[in-house]
Order: sequence, then structure tokens, then C-alpha cells
Amino acid sequence: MTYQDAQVWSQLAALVIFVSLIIGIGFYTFRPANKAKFERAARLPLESDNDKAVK
Amino acid sequence: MNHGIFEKNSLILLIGILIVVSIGGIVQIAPLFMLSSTIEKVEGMRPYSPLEQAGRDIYVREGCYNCHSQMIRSLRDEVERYGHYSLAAESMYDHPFQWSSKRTGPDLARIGGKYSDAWHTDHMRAPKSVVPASIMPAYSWLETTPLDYTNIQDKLKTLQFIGVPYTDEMIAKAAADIEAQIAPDTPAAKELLARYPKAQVRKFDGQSPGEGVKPTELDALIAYLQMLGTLVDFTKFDASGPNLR
Amino acid sequence: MSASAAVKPALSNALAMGSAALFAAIGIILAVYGLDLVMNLHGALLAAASVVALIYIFTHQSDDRSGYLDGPIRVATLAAVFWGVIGFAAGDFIAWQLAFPALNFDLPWTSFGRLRPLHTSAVIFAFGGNVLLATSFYVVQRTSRARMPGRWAPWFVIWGYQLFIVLAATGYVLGATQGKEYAEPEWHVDLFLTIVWVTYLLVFLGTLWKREEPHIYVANWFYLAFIVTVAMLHLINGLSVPVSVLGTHSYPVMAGVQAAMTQWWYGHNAVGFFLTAGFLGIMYYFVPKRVERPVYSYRLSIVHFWSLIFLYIWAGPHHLHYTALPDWAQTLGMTFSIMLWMPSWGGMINGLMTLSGAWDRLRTDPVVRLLVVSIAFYGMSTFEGPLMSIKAVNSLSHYTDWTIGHVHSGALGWVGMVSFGAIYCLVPWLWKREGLYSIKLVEWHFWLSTIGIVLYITSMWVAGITQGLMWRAYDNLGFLKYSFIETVEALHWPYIIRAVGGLLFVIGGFVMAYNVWRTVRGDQPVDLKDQPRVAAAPELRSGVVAVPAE
Repeated sequence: MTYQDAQVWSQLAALVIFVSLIIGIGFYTFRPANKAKFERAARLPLESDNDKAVK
Repeated sequence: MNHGIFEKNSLILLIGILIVVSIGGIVQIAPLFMLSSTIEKVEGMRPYSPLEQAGRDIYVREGCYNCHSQMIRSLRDEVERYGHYSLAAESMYDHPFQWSSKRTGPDLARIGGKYSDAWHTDHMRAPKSVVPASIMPAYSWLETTPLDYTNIQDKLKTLQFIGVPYTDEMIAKAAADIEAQIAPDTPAAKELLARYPKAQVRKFDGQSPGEGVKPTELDALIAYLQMLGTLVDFTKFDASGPNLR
Repeated sequence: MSASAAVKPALSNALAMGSAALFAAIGIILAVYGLDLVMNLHGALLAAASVVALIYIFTHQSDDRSGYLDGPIRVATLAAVFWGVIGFAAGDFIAWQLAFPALNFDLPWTSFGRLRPLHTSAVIFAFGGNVLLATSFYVVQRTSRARMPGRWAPWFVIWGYQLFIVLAATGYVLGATQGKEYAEPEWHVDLFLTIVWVTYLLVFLGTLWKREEPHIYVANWFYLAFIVTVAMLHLINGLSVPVSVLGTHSYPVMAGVQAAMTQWWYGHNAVGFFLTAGFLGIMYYFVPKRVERPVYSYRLSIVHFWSLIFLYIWAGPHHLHYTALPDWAQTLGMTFSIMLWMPSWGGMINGLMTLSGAWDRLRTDPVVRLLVVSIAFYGMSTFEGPLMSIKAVNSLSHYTDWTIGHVHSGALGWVGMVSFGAIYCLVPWLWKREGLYSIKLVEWHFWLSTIGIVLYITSMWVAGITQGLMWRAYDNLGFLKYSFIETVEALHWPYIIRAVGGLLFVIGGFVMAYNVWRTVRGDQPVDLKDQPRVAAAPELRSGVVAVPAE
């Protein structure tokens, strides 16, 4: 493998993976179907945390 | 509730994390094992002689890397202060590498030959005696501690196993070579020089050499320091090769 | 059901005793047949710890599995305080050594080169690690509403981890090291840690599998990423071959530039996953909990999570600018380090804005102040980091004390303070107290730490930039202006100021230890009226019960 190959491939791979990951995150995060789930999840730490909460 | 799916969810999360955190390492590390600029051999590079390797182990043991780098960057002032910038090939037999990340003291990649053995001996005994403003700890016990080289053969064998090109002969003669490197003008020393070109043969710690004299830890450490950066001859080095950065 | 309920404890007790016996046997073999002093000592320590464990398990066979399993968390919390004080003090001692080298005492065991790894491992792995163990076990049980699985496994994780710390530390002082920064423990200690760590992962995952909540709370994502990524880094960077299976010495498999790249892939992600992702898990649980409001934006926390873990893993090469590492790798490292600024600040904003509508807590509750200032320091050091990863800046800052200052703004400011905040929350909750022994002492701790950190960071900026500029200074004739030793002399006073700042931080650590001790002992709090309701253990919070709003 030459230096040029490594440069082109590593940076191209990094770009493609980066962009697709960002799109994936955006889709998951802002999907309307997930809204209610996230709102409920955000309150998890505030709920009862004494021993009686555990089943 | 269907717990199966939730169990899978945490596993899916786990696998997702593993994929995401693996990519960077694969793209950055894997090519280094294939690129010519990082695996090419440079003329002059050879494995450490047994005494040098023993000295290197002491360098690692004492944590010298916490204050001294062995990596000259390709910057004008560094090249003027320390010498030619370090090549990848120059640390190809370094297990572990000792590039370090901090210069509380100066870079040591090319310290070899810059000071006399006597200077090093004084410096290790009491750094302030030769550099009055030095903040280096003294390593005065090194010159009174005999070097333990009972397992030097096993050490070289281990290094051979992980890719350092020690020959079987080098391994067989490891202990003899340690003694030979502090016994100048002996047949054994001549043999050592054939195996390890450019090795320096003398009693490094200022004690007089002679029949049956055993090496100290200081001998090993100074033997290592005095060869650092001396193997590649930069008057003959072809800078147009892949090592030009 | 009833049959399995009776068989299960018997089985887990037998399994635990079997493992302890096995460890004891290995320990005895190493203690007797080990080839060097360190191996003999480590064998003896392993054997002794295993025998104690064996006796304890044998005499404690009854099994009560109701409620959350908090015993191991209590141990880890106290261990964090204990190792914290030791690690801070060791750091300050070596800081004084740099100002006054006579403090090295000309002895192998007290020289800077052996004590510095002791300091870094003690603060990162012993202090930070125990904080992460304690908080992750606490958070994963609460947010899953499930008890940790296993009768003995969680205990093994906690006590095994303490044994790992003792093995690593004694090894360093006696000269057993692999010579790689933040990965110094020798092969046998690494191997033992791997066993502990895999158990940790299984206990954590097992709790998630048992959970009653459909969703996995985001703090657990951060903890999980921290656990698995650290395992991956540790395994790959730690690859080494022992010279003899009965001796401590080993040689790492990789050499030269490959080793350097792997080491800083490990090293920077020890920062990214151990010291950042794990502690962000703390932020995402303890800040909402303490100010009693949900996190500002749960969506942002998810974006924060994925972008942070993806970007961090690429940042390693910025430790190797202008070295023999190929340029393309350096550039990749720099680019990703700069991009990392975005998720870092997204996370910071998310943490800080959680207080919106409750900013008065900042004034009335010093624990909230510790948490918030820690997030501010997180923002500061994650701004400074990308800056220093730019090659031109790095050419000046690398190899100097600027790096040391940067690390400490993250370590003392972010990791230290968020940990203190979490510990002050946890202690009354775990020991079922009405509050901390003294909230006033928390105030003292806050100010001692803050002033100490400011002295530390500023003196290291001065030291680093001074030395960096002096190294590259030329005189009129075009020669280098300063010899190396002149650049060392210039740092004497910055080193003293740094050590004074460190001393304040250490004193703060002792104040915390005292406060925790009095609280644990059950002493009546001296200023209960000044403490918020949430300071008390959940069972003791009188009056209003938090009702989840729908």
C-alpha cells in the first residue's frame, strides 16, 4: 500500500462513515414516533429510587 | 412484556457501540502495518545488543519516559537542537516504544556520543554535579547494583518471537555478549562486533575492565544511552525515500 | 420457582468459593515459584485476598435478594475517597519534586519516574475508576428498577478492582512497568484486570436485561460505551508476551510507530471513554437528580452520545504531530479533534441548561455548584483540547507543561468536581442519612478546589508557553538562544505555584474525606436546615413525594 492509497482511502472512508452516521443519528433522534418515548425516558432519574421501587 | 426484545436491545446497543468505536482505530492503525514509510528498514538499523537491551529495560523500569522524549519532530529548532528528525525505522525494534509525551528534560533520541561516559556516570550519581540547575533525580544506586542478566536469553527469545530479528546464534551467545561488551580488545568482543555492528565496547561506568569483572546496571544504561540515535548514518541517508515526511 | 430459588444461592456460593480457591492456588504458586520479588509479592497478595474472600463467602451463605444491592456501591464510594486523597497527595508530592529535586531522596522507590505513574494510575483508575463503579452500579439499578444480578459477582468486581489497584501500585514502586503511559501495569496485572472488567460488563448488562423500564436511560449508554470501549482499548494496547509466565517482565507485541499510534489511540480514549463518557453518565443522572428536573433535551443527549463516541476514537494521532507517524494520520487526528468540539459543547449546554428554572440552586446548594462548575470546566478543557490539536499550536504546546495544565483542567475541574458532586449526593443516599454531616464543609471543599485548580492551570500555561517559546527562540546571529537547562530554570516559580495549587486541592480532598466519614458514622448533621430536601436518602425525604408529570 502506498502513501497516496492510504491517504485517499482513509480520508474517504472517514468522510462516508461520518456523514452516514450523522444522518442515522438525526433520523433516530428526530423521528416523531420516538418523541413520547424520549420524554418518558428523561424522567427516569426523577422517579422513586428507594428500595420499594425494585421488583 | 416481552423481555426478549429488550434484552436484544441492550445487545443491539452494545454492538452498535462496538462498531462505532472500532472504525477509527481500524482506519488509523491497520495501514501502519502495510505502509512503506512505516515498515521500511533503513540501512544501519539492527537489534539492540544484549547489554543495550538490558540498559533499555532499566530505562523503562525507572520511568525515564516520564520526562524524556525519544522523538525529534521535523521542526527547525528541534533539528538544530537535537539532530536529524527521528525516522519511523529508528524505533522499529523498540518494545515498548519510548517516544514519550513530555520534555521535562531534553530529548534523548540522539544522545549517543554527545557526552563522555564519565559525564554520564557523574550525572547519574549526582545530576547537579555536572548540570547545576538540573532537577533530575539522582540514580546513584545503579553503579553499585550488579546487572542481573540471568534471563537475558529468554528476553531475546521473547523479542525474537514478537518480530525482532535476533538470530539463534545471537540468542545462544546473549549472556557471553553482555560480558564481552564491557571487555574491550578480547576475542569475544570481536565476535560481538560482528553480530552487532557499531556496538561500543568498553567499561562504561568508569570502573576498570578486566577478567571476571561483571557489568553493573549503570554499564547497561550508559551502553544504551551512548548508542541512541547512532545507528543510521545520515551522511549517507537517502532523504528522498518514503521516510521524507 | 421454589426449587430454583433454593438451588441458585447454593450454586452461586459454590461457584464463588471455587473461584476464590482457584485464585488462592494461583497466588500460592506465584508466591512460591515466582521468579522475582514483585511476582512473589503479587502472588502472596492474591492468595491472601482470595483466602479472606473464601472465608467470608463460607460464613455468609444466606442469600437475601430484596431491594437494590448497595453494599458494593458503598465500598466503591469509600474506596474512591480513600484512593482520591492518596492519588492527589502523590501528585502534589511529585509536583514539589519538580521544584525541589532533593525530595527524590536518591532512592529508587521515591524517584519521580516511578511515582508519576503511581499518581496517574491512582487518580485515573483508582479514584476515577471507583467513582465510575459506584455511580454506574447505582444508576443502572435505579433507572432499570432492577437489582444487580448475582450474589457475589458485584462484590468480586469491587474488591477485585481494589486488588488490581494494589497490584499495579506496588509493581510501579518496585519497578515493574510496561513503560507505556496510563497502561503501565505489567501483563499479569492486566490479565487480572481483564477478568474483573468482563465481570463488570456482565453485571452491568445483566442489570439492563432484568430491567422493568422499556427504555434504557441515556446515562447507561454512556456507562456501557465506557465499559466496552475501555475493554477493547485495554486488550489491544496491552498485547504483550511475558519473558516467563512466572516472572513480571514482558515485552509489548508492537514496536515503534505502530505502538505509538496504538498507544495514543488507547491513551486519548482513556480520556474520551474513561474520563469523559463514564463521567458524562454521572452528569446525565446526578445533575437532573440533584436539581430535580429532567435533562434539558433528551434528544440532544442522544446526539451527544453517538457523535461523541464516534469522533473521540479518531483523535489519538494529535498526540503525535510532526513525529514519524504519517501525515495523513496526523491530519485525520486533528480534523476529528476539532469536530469533537461540537458534541462536547452540545453536552455541556445540555448539562448546564438542565438548571434552567432552578438557577437559584447554584447559590443555595454547593453540591449543585460543584456539578455545574465541573461542567463549565468540561466546556473549557474541551475547547482547549481541539485548539491544542491544531498542528501549528501543537508544535508549541507539545512536550511542554501546557499539556499538563490542559489535562488537569479536565481531570481536576471536570472529573474531580463532578465526582465530588456525585459522592456528596451518594453518601447520604447510600447510608440512609438525613443529609451530609456538613454542607458548610462542601462549600469549603468547593472553594479550596476551585482556587487550587486556577493556580494549577494558570501556572502551567505560563510554564508551557514560556518553555515552548524559549525552545524555538533564536538570537540575532541565527543560533538557538537558550540551552535546554535555561528553559528548565525558567520554570522554577511556575512549578512552585502549581504545587501550592495542588496542595489546596489535596486539602480539599481531606475536607471531603472528613465530611464523608462523619456522615457515614451517623453523626447528626450540623447544618441540616441549609441542606436541600434531595440531600436526604430517598426514604427520608419528608413531605412531597416526587410525582412524575405525564
